[in-house]
Amino acid sequence: MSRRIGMVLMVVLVAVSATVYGQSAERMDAILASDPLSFGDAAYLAVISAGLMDPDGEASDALAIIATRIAEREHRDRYNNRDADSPVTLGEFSYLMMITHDISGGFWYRQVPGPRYAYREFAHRRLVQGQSFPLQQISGERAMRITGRVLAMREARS
Amino acid sequence: MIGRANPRTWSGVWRTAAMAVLVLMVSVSAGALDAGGRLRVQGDWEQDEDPQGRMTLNAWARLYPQLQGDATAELLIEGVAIFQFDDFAAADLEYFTARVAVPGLLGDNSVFRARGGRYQLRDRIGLIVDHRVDGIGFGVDYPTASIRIAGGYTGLLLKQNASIVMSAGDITDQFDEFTTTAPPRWIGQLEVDFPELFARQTVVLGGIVQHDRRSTNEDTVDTQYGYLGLSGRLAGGLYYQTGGVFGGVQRKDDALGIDSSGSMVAASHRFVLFMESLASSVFTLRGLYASGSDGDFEPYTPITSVSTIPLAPVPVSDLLLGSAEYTFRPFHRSESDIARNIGLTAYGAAIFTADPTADDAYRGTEAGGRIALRPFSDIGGSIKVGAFIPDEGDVTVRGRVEFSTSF
Repeated sequence: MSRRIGMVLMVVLVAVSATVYGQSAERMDAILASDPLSFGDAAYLAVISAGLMDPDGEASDALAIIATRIAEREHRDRYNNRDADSPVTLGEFSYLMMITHDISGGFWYRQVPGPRYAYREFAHRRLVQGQSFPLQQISGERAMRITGRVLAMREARS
Repeated sequence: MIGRANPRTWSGVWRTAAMAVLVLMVSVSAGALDAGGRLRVQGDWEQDEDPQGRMTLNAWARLYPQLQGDATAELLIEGVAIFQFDDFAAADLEYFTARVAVPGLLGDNSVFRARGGRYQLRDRIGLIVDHRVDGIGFGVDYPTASIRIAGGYTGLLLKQNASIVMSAGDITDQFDEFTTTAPPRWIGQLEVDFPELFARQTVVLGGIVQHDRRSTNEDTVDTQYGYLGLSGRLAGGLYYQTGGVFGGVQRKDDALGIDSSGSMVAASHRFVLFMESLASSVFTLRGLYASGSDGDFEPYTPITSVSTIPLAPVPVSDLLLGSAEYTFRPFHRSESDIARNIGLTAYGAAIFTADPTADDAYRGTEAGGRIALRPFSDIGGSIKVGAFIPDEGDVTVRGRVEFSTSF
């Protein structure tokens, strides 16, 4: 790993850690090392980084919170039978982050809320960088970087 | 795109299409696919003239074949349908571009890039060409320099979907119902880019050669361009971009006995001041010079039209232009996305011939304004209104309404 990537990673980790202060280092290490990132871990990261759950909670708790927020917004219940251990896609992770961090979407996201237009919104806001597409599987490290950018964006707007 | 293609060309097209279908099937099965579209509607209005409307609908797919190591690849397929109201409708292949990037191939810290198919060829100083071509390009990026070599042909594009007008023959072909394709020209480019070479200033050096593929029994124009560009930040939010072109032009028409050649020059300089704290203000000052026919030089002839002023059609040839523009967002602190992204612009531009000391050098001034709206990240629109005040004659008022969405 180059020094530059290491420094970026450290900054992201500090940013994320500031939010998820109470959680175990082992859990974060596991997420960081996972490739591809599982849907359950992605949900955990999204919910924890938004401060919606105690860091000691489980992925199943995070999924329940996300299901509630999807129902509140009257979005389609697309994750009812989703396998928590299967890989998350970039579009799905973008959608989970938009749901948990209350990020507003574009016109088409408001008409058809879901991973496709959530990814578009993240690409527009440059929260997703590099070669990417909605169905792309992502690593835990990349998810951490995206989470860091989301937190930085929220910080800048507050 | 049928008019000038020969059987060998079509053989290549079918092979490429078959490869694309194969890559598409593999990519779809791997889920490495994204697709979408864009809709753009534009209405133009000019005093004492009939209004004109144009709608373009683009549909695209990007495929991402899996490569080994850190190498990445992408295949972009994009089609466009154009509706010019009360005039024509046409459909064309907008892009068919394969791209590959291979880090480390030509040494540590290098990224080798290749692209082929139908892609956008442009110069970094914005004074020569910005157009789709069918061809190939290669480049390599290092931390201190980037080198690109590219080439392509324009004669396979539909003429309704092209904007190359360099000669009287090009204009004639636009109105000839038997000519379906764009002017047949080969374009080659070599460009070297030194990002932040000194004091965060970027230097660009390049050369472009354009060869007219028409028979010399027709009106032909060949051109060559050497160019130098500088850009960077001067202080705070003050940036500049400057560029100069020195070139050659040869015009031939055996039927009319024309065989001339000469030199041409053009230069552009732009200051841009960003002031985020002052309602997201952006001030822009621009000067543009393009040689005319004055004995030392020939009229400057770019391959594609260069942006001059917002509404009046002013070609970049025998031209001296000075313009100022101010844009701000009056509600930039608003909680509402709609209000926050409203942009207001006022501008003015004075136009002279290339020799401002000559009699009748002053041609006129355009002044106007624009309201831009972007209520959502995927929807935008603008309204422009401007008046051209000529040195002699009546004032002409023009307007343009634009709307676009991506989905």
